[in-house]
Amino acid sequence: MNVGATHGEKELGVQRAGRAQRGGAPDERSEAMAFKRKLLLVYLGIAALLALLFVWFQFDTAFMLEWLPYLLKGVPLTLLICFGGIALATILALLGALGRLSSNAIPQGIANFYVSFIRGTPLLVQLFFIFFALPQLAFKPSSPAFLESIFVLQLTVAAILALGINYGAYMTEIFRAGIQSIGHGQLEAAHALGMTAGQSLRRIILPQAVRVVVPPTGNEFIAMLKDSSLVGVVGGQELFFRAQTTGNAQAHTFETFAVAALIYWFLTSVFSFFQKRLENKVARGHVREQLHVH
Amino acid sequence: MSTDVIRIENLEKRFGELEVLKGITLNVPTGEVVVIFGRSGSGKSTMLRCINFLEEPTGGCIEVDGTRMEVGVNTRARKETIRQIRMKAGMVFQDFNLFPHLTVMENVIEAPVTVKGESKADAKKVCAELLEKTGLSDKADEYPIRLSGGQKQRAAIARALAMRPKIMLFDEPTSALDPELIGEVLEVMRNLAKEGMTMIVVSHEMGFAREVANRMCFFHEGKIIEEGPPSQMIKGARDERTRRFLEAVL
Repeated sequence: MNVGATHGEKELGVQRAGRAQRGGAPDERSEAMAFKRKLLLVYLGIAALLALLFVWFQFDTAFMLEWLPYLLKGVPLTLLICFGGIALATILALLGALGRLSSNAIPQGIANFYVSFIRGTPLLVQLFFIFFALPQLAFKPSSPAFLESIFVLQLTVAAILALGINYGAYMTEIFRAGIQSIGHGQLEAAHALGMTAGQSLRRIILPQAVRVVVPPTGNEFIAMLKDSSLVGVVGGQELFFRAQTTGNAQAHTFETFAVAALIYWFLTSVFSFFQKRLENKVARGHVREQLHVH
Repeated sequence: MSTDVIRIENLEKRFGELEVLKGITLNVPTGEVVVIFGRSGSGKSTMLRCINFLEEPTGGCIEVDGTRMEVGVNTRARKETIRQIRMKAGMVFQDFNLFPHLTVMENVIEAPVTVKGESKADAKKVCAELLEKTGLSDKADEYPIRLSGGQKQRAAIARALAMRPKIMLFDEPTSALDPELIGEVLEVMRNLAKEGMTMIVVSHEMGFAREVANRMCFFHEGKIIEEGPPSQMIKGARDERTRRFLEAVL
């Protein structure tokens, strides 16, 4: 499996599989091999083109190597924000999904509002709101003193909150669909055995929903990895911020952005790899289905 | 009368305008096997699902092993009573509804462990016997997707039996099976009846009914219009509608 395959590659893969199925057994192999060779040629072509550009525009590779360690130092913060963000988002999404599916008007109303409002406003605005606007509320004449310790946030905390709350809203819909995809018969069987609503959810519905929810959640995580660069805009010393500031200062923006892009690409590829393994792990009990998908 | 495991009194169920059950009264003494048959849409499954409150009845009263439930508002105490009834009445569904993320053994011990709080080790010991009884000992560690339809249904029966129910409710247990797999499921049910399990079976398996049932009830448009022992029902039904239905299925 090609790590970090793009949508385009996946589509080609499907076509190839379709063609291979129709063909006879020996043909099928050679045809697949031929296609792989063509694909490799395309990649080599892209690499050659990029190399040509590098030479043409006199890219300063020495500069890139020199500043690589400095940019890499931004990676821990990027990862911290993303892991914190996805953890918060997962909790909010679970609560949000249960709220959306609740027959009680109060949790459903709150969840509906949350999803609608957060999805309806830009992430950057939310980040600015939490980091810049919230502290102002703490210093209004009418505000009690303790608000200062709540509303004035460290940048890292603000970043995790913003990304977590934002992605939680999108993931609420993923989780809701995941829970709804479990057939009603499962809930009936659990109830018929005497399980309470909570037991049925914990033991029967959620473990099955996880299988459905892991792939899109992995995508959300990868998207978040890249959206975390917005934190650089408000001054967080993460990967993108470091690339921008050194690039501007040394008049080598192209080089530093290229390095930053490569690091992001590498990170997402690593996580795609682990996502795939996690998907296989949670797919137990669905072996046959998975073979079909391939 | 006190030996009746199930007492259904004047049970009614309507979905909006549609009246599905129009006053069903049925008492089942301990150890009796009742087979319910009738056209689809006549209310057989709905009645079965009302017994353990998968459907909320709109009128009447249900008593399972002394636990009595009347139609009413949803309170906490009511929910708990419904749960007590569900633990006493094992249910087998037409399409099995095994838990696909659990192995056969995990399916069977799930309720004893989660609902009754038994230890996994104890539950496994008891459930191993149930798997042997249903002929699934060698499938204990398989996931349901690896089983045939007949094996799935037998696993579902073992799962329901694991709660030590006072009565078993079968909702068309063989309707989703290929013909050659029906026999093995009926065999398990037959053995269960021999052991004295009280059973209500919604089924059109007339051979099974003739052999195992103590009583047959014919459902028509939300009512039981005729009931009696199988010999009498199959050979000499009094009601014209029962006769016509039996001619069609036999």
